[in-house]
Amino acid sequence: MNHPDFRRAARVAYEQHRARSAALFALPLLLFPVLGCCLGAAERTACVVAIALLAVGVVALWRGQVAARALWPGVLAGLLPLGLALAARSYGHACLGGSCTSLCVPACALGGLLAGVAVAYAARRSKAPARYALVAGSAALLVGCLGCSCVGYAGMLGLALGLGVPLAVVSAYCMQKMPA
Amino acid sequence: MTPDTLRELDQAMTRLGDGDRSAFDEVFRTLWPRVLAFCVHVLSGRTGHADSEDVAQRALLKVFERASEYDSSKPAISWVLAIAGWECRTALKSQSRRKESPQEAIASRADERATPEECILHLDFLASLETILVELSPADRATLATAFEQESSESASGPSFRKRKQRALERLRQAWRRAL
Repeated sequence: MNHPDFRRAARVAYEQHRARSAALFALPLLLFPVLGCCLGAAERTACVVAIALLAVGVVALWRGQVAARALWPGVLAGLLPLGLALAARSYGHACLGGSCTSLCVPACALGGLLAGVAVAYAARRSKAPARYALVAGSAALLVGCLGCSCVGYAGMLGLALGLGVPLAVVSAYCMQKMPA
Repeated sequence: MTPDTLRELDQAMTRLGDGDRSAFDEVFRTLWPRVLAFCVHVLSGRTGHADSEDVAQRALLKVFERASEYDSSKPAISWVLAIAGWECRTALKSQSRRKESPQEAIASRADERATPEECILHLDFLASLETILVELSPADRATLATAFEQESSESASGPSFRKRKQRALERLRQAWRRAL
């Protein structure tokens, strides 16, 4: 094997091993959709979330650096909307006067906001805030979706809005601080 | 290798392990000549230069495969040379297994410097030496490496270098006695 070929082979070996390790270490992420299913999430939603979460996890761990460090904090942040949505579902409906309404959407929006603030705070301290926010935000959104699918797309929209606001603020702040 | 080179290699290896692809070329450029020289030295007289190069390539492929497992609290060169030493040992074992008939083994032994048992003992000795070298300071390791590489050259024979070499050897002896 000549020198450039060997260098290429070494690079391929490096990438392959990283990809294999990433696939292995991302497997525990599948526990969250399974947990979501056990707690009442729709099976179809759980399957879609499982595939997306696994893809995000594998790519983040394979890329390494900030992306890999952002994955698990994002998943933990996603437990906030998941927990709040499950709590709202078990509480049932809030009735005021003659009308009753589900608490799921406000719980998802609130959980998303809290998760967004947590991710934004961590992203600000990171070396690459945009990448950190993207990976952690995606992971939080996907984990949160498992609980927020209780009222269909409205819950997921509430979660996305709640999560997106703090992240957008931090992104705008970081872009402002970036040298021209 | 100077202490600066060793430090830079440690840092580059840490970055590569974390997923920073920009460190790949630096690590490759630094390690390839050292690993090749190590394998040629260990296998000299027992295999041809081409075989030694093959072993060095296999060793370096393993290093890049396992880059993400590198422990940044330990010197990178010791870790790399331990992998290279293991590859040399494997190559010697598979070579001895390949000898089909006793006549062939006797014919090839006539040209060799040592018996397979002595080769294994020699490799065991090298492995122990690598373990002990980790205990020395980077400056001592660099001095010993220079003394080893330039044993017969004039450039490394100044009085200050001789003094440093003497001190480094003394510390190596102490570490060796402790290990025993």
